[in-house]
Amino acid sequence: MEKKLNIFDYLTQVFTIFGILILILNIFCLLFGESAKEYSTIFSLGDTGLSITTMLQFLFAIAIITAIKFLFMTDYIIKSLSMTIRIILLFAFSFCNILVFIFLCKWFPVNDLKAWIMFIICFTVSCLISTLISNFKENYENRRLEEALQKSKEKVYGKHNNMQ
Amino acid sequence: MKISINIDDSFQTDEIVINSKCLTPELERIISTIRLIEQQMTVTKNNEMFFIDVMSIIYVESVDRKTFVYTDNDCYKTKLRLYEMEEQLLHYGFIRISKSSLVQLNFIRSVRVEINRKLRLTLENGEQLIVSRAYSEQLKQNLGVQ
Repeated sequence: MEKKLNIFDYLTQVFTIFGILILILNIFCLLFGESAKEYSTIFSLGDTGLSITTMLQFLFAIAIITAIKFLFMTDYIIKSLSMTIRIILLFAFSFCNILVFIFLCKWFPVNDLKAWIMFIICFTVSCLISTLISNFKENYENRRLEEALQKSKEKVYGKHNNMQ
Repeated sequence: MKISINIDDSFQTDEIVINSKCLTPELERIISTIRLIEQQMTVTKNNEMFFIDVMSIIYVESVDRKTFVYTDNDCYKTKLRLYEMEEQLLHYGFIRISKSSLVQLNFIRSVRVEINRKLRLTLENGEQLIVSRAYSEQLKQNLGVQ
């Protein structure tokens, strides 16, 4: 039967992304924590790891981004919208969400132009990579479906013609 | 309803004779079912009755408890319910794509994934049909993709 997305699907996605991100950030803490301690609140504890405050900030940010993803990348609320506009809105809203956290939580100094350039480059590269991956996945699945359709036609109508 | 079956060596061909005061909707459905076995279907259009070849049906749709049959050029009505047609048409390569429609595999030009695990079918006549979430999983299984 039809499986509708529910709150547990949402929470599963939030905590999966959160877990992976925290792991990556802790590795960054170990590698660059001491040197970045004074620069960003994310590395406030130096190479000892992330603080609870930082982890909660990321949990909240991921919860919002996942909600944005559910809003634009499913048709539960927005029924009819082209895929391109959905992707653009997803990235735009996610970008705005991260901006709010950067300003409120001081993830890096807001008057540092170099930091902003790096942030925009990282965000753009992430968006490009995720779009490329999802495009590749979609094309691969479409190809598999096409092949399966042709095989099924041969199977069904080949058999049918033999019967006649 | 009285059903008589006569088996005799002297009969040259198989014959079904229906005796009734008038053509009731129930009888029409029985006739349609029998026709389906013969790869033909009894359909109506503007109160006129037609026999169409099952293989010419592109898709079947149920709207407000009425069943419509679409061929390349026409749209007909049938007395059969969708589930009754599904049982018979499965052997002819028809697949269920939503609660209200069946489509013939032979007329599907392409299948593409859509948002939210749905599928979009493009038919040979250019028409597009959406396969609902529940049935897209089933369709994938039938195609052997999953």
